[in-house]
Amino acid sequence: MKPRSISLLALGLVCLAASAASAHAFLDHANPAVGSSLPKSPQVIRIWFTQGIEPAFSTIEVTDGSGRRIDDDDSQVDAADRTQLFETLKPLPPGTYKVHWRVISIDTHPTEGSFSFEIVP
Amino acid sequence: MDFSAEYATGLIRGLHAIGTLSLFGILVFRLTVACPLLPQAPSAAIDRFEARLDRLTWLSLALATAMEAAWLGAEAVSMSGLPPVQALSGKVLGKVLFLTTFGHTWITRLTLEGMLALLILARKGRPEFHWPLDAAGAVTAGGILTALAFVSHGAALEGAERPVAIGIQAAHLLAAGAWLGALLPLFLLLEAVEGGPKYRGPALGGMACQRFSGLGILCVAILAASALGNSLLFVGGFAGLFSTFYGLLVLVKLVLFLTLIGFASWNRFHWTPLLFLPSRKNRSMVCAGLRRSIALETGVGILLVGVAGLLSSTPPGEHSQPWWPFSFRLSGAALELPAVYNEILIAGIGAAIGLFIMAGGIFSRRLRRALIPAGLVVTAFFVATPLQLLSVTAYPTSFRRSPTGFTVQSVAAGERLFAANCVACHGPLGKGDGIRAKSLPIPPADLTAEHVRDHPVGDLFWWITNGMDDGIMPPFGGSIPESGRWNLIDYVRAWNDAVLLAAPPDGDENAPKDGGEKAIPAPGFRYACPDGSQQDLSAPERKAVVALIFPRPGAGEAVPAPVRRRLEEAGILPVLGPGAGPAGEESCVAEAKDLERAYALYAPRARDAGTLPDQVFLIDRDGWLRGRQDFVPGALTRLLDRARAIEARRLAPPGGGGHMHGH
Repeated sequence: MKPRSISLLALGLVCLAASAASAHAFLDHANPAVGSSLPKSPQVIRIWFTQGIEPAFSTIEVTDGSGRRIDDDDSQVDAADRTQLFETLKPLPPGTYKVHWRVISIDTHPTEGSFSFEIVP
Repeated sequence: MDFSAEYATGLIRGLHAIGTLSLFGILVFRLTVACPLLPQAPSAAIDRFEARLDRLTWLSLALATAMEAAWLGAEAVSMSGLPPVQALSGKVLGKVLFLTTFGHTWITRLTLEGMLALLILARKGRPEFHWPLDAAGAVTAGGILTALAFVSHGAALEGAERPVAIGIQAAHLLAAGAWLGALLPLFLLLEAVEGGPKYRGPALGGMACQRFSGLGILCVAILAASALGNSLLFVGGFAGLFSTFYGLLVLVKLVLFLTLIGFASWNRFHWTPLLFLPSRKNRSMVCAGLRRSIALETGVGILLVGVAGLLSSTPPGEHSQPWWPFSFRLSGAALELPAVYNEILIAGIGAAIGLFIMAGGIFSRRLRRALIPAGLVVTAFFVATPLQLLSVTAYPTSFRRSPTGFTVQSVAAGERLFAANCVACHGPLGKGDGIRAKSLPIPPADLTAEHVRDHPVGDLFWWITNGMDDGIMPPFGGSIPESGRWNLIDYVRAWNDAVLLAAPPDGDENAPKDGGEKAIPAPGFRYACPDGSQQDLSAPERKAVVALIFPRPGAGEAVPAPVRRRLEEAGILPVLGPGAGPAGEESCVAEAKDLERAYALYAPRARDAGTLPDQVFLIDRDGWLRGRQDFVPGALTRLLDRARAIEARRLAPPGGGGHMHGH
């Protein structure tokens, strides 16, 4: 076998022909934290994701115990950190709230999820 | 999540890649093979070739642009989440095109595709301009592939990794295009030159193949290197490769890639030399055989690109937990034993000698037949030893991570579950001395032993769920829900860590043991600060050492203002546990639930009482629990010194399946 063919085969063995992994932005952590109990109403809800996300199509929706939406639909991506999505909230009465998030990662994969938190003074 | 929609997008991306890779390959082939060689061919052959290659070029361009349109539509539906009728409106399409990274690259690509069409039209019938127009076309087509790299996984990374990942992906695409995209043009050239009426001239077919091979080898090298780069960035280690569906697709792609290299090598070293035979009849038979091989190779190449397209859209499956398919895994834990370490060192030297022998065989013609097999045997023998020594038993759940985030709630829940389910055998302190222990043929494990730390949480999860030693430890998968089992693991780990942190009887804080401090995670909790913000202990943006203070109840203000100022000046954030003084306290206060119960584990004297008067825990900014002391507001020196030492020395996370914060 000629040296070149050996080096060809060796190269082939060395490489792991991996294509880009699917990049889905998942929830890394949130503030208020997933499933947490707060003494007073949070002013901002902020979610950190595992990947950078597209501002134009990433949203947070907060609903109260009866399923009524109580946020202003003005979620934004942090200018300094593309993995953070946040939304300001009006003062909320005590109760359980559900947060539904839907984001698109920069490489166009949509993900969504939800969690809840409660306000118990 | 609609998986079928994602797979449809993957199919579109795959077809789009076939079109764009083909365009780049055609133009590179023209520049490197066709333009230099074709003038030496008879004019009939040239015309035949140009006509067919033009048709192929327009087909590729049509495929690419058709898929651009389809991709835009698919993304409009996917991003907006609306049904197709509403998603394909001007408003949504405009938003996608102008407000997303995907949209910006789409506009770039479409513009470049238009420019390419103009260049192809311009070159027709103008042979004197072929070279510059083809060069411009190659750059344009290369630009289209580079634009694709900006919507690859690397583009979603943050920081310094992002440009590196995009560069690697661009190199990968360009190399794939120059190699795979040039296969069909080579096929057409061979057909035109060798398949036509006889002529006497240089063996153009053979020369074309040789030129193509040279470029092909370079492309394979770039593909291998960029694939390795991508793997290091994204695959997630061998666990990810073997235990997820995505990893399976990567392995399929690897097999296809090796197949392609096999074809290429066969073409280069078997067929190509035969194209230089003097006999015309033999040459045309060889040519037919070679064209068949190239056609097969193209088919495998198309399959591979299709798999790559699917791969780029494969969802990992609800944040999938890996299911390890083998009964063993490699672990570096055994290296801590000197005997094992020495054996592995010797094996390493032996393997290196074996590789050296093999290298000698490559460079020496005479001894090749003897040296290469001998070197292979020697290397294999010396590689087998470390594999055996470093193999440990593994279970399907070995590489799972805990979903609890190691919070105080989880640890406290685990303690309650332990008391209800485990003390009968493992004993109240987990030492394996429970009431039922003596009657068991195999004694229950001492859960305070350091060896427990060598097992990843996935192993513990398997044993709790399925039992051990044929049911001597019964399975709890049916009686304790999955979240409860993870709570139990958090408790066992916390208690095991606590034994490690155990203070000498005089209550002084732990001095570093020999070998340095081990990184012990502090159970997570939330705290609220006077400015209204709510913080989480594990939040990465926290920049101070946290002093978790459990004040003596009824002792007035736990942290007087001057004390707090001194602490804050030293970069310490005081956080009060429950039992804090009167309202108006200006410090951050931690959430009460389960906090004291969880932290009491780390203070042996307080464990039974469940309260921790006058104790302070120091938690560094990485979330490691670094010490526990008596809290004396009047005498802060020791506390401040310890905090300074903590800040000065950051700890590395423990290897081999320790706790994982966050997800």
